[in-house]
Amino acid sequence: MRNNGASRRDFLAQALTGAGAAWLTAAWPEILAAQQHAHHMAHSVAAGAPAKLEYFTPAQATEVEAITAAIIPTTETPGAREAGVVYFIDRGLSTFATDQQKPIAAALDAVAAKRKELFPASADFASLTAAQQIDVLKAIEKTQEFGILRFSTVAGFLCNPEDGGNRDRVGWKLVAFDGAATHTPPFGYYDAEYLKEHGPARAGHRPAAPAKGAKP
Amino acid sequence: MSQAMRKFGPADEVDFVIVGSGASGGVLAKQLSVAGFRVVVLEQGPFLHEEDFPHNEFKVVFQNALTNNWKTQPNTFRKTEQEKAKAQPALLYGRMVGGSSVHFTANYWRFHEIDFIERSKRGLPSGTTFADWPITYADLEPYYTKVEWEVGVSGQAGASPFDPPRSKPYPLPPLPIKSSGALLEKGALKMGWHPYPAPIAILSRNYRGRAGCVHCGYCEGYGCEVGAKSSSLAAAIPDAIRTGRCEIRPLSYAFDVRLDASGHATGVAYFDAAKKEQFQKAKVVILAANGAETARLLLLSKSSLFPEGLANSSGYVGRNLMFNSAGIATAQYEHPLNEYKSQIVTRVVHDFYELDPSVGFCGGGGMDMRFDQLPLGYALWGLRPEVPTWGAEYKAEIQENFTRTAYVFCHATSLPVETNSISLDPDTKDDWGLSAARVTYKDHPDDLKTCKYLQDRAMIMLDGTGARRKWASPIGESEFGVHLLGTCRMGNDPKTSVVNADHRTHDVANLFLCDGSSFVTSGRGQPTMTIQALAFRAADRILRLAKRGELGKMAPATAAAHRS
Repeated sequence: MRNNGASRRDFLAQALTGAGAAWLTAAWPEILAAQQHAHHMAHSVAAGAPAKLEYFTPAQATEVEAITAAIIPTTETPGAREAGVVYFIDRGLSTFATDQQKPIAAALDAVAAKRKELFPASADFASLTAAQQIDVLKAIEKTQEFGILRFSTVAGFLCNPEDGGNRDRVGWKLVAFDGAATHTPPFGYYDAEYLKEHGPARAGHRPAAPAKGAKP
Repeated sequence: MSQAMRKFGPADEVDFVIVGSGASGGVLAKQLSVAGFRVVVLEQGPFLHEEDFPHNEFKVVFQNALTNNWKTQPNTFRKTEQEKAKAQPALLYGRMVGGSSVHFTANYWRFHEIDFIERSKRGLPSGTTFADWPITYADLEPYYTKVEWEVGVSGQAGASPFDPPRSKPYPLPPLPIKSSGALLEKGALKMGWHPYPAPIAILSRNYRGRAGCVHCGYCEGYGCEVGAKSSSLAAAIPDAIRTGRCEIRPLSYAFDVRLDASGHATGVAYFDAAKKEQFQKAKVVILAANGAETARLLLLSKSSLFPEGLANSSGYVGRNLMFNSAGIATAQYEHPLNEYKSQIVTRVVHDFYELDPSVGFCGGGGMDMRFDQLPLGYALWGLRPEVPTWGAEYKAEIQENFTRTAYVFCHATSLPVETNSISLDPDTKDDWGLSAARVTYKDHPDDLKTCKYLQDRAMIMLDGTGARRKWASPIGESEFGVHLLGTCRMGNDPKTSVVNADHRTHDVANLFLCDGSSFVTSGRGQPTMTIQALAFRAADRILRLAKRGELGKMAPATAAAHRS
């Protein structure tokens, strides 16, 4: 599955078809309920309590976590596992995305079927070697089933932590998104260079307040 | 809000009922209530406030927190009238008080003189219904100025040599430049073009009791949590409510404009929050529900007098839909741009606004540079074409390039084509049992050529910006619209237009339409500024008719406290 460089307008359309549609859903009350749940969970995690599964069995959760960790692996930086993506998916399926229970179950079945086909002696996805895991997912990467798993993983990795994934902002830290509530210019390298070259007026910066004690 | 909002009973006959509270509905509500009239605004979405706008990409973009939800209000789509339409999302608009002006990007340049007279100047491209507007730029100029000063627009007068004449400078200076703007300016100057600071309907400083932009970055697609974005919600509706004569009634989904036996509109039937039918009586009905929903509501409002839909004697209701065509050229850089900070666009190029006829097609457009994706959108759709979409290499790519990507957005004309339309789907219903909006759309060949022309030049320009990589997205036919224009066009001839130059329908004397549906041509993208200028002008025209007694007996409250 490769990005085919669709137009910006189609970005939005894509969000609503194929894999993206998986999580499109819900009315406000459900989202709010999910938010409260996440809040609660975030607090539990902060307090050192183990995050609770609401939907998956522990065995299912182990499989899902292994799949998400193959999609966004742990390298020298944290991946889907450290971001708690499995908890994001678990929470989604028990709150705002209950209509995705069947598609996710079908996706897990598709992974299991391909695993058995390629590695008949294996017991589960989680116990495959990393290379074997990649082989399994590569074999189904063009399917809708994989698309749902990939979408859910990326969403759980880069969502706002209040949604139950992206723990400790590990996803945001990876891509260097600061998540700050406000910013001040200059914002990036090239506008900082522009400011140096052309000065604050042309850069649209507010005139700097005169330093204390400076003569007018 | 210091004052409780005035409430009317459904049986109270108010002066005006307005369907839609967005860019035009909000302005009309303000202008008419300030002038002393009693107004009810029916808005299908919720009444959200600044504190309700979350910094949450997943909720807003993927769960339609602020927009129409295709699960409850499906669309269908087809390219030609011969096909059966398939269910697919085809339209997007803000569904809340303030409408799309809440979540828009806020690019606010004016249309140019050519946009109003291009048919006379360029002739009739084949397969189009190209026409001049019944008004000119000069007619609209005072209202463009009014928009800038009333709602708050940041910009620099005289910065673009292509700008049409203006009577007053901008009330606020341009917003701070971003890396995308700095790069576009550098590249464009090398090409001999004339980049200029983008006019943006976001406050660069505090203005009229509203806060200036804090550069949070949750901007395009989001509601502004400090009220710096000059939406109707922030910049018009509070003034309307303050008059004590305007009720904004949220969660009110209009489905029928009713007539009496003489063909006079009596009010609007709608579903309330409990999906119960209600009716609001009014002396005058104004539809400002956007270019899709205004047309759809007219088509839903069938009667023995108007079997093909209300005010549709021309057969033009829903037709000539224009989306604005678009082309994209993306680049990646050595150093971080951090485009996720602040509002979206800071420099614009209008050197190609009016293309010379020698190019062999009719059209024109502008360019800006931006990256309007937050982390999740980037990681799903912002990748360069050749990288894997999962695994270690994918992870390394998003780590490196989320902050280093921007693209040139070429925004261009759509020519009006009669068969491009909003109609009622014969089979698909929404959750209220109303026929779904069916979109029929195929870009005119000239529109695609215009986009390609602009994109080719953008690709060359990017070489001068020091990009380390660049790529052009394929230009394809649109299947999805956010600019919803032309579906009840204005004109002097009742056979080929739906409203006259006063936004009054040719067929029903006390029914007015004012939003993107009124457009005769598409402009070069960024239609909301012109929608609001039309709304300020329509309010003046309507008030003049009311004063002359042409809209029936109306008694405006005297000594309007907030005359503007």
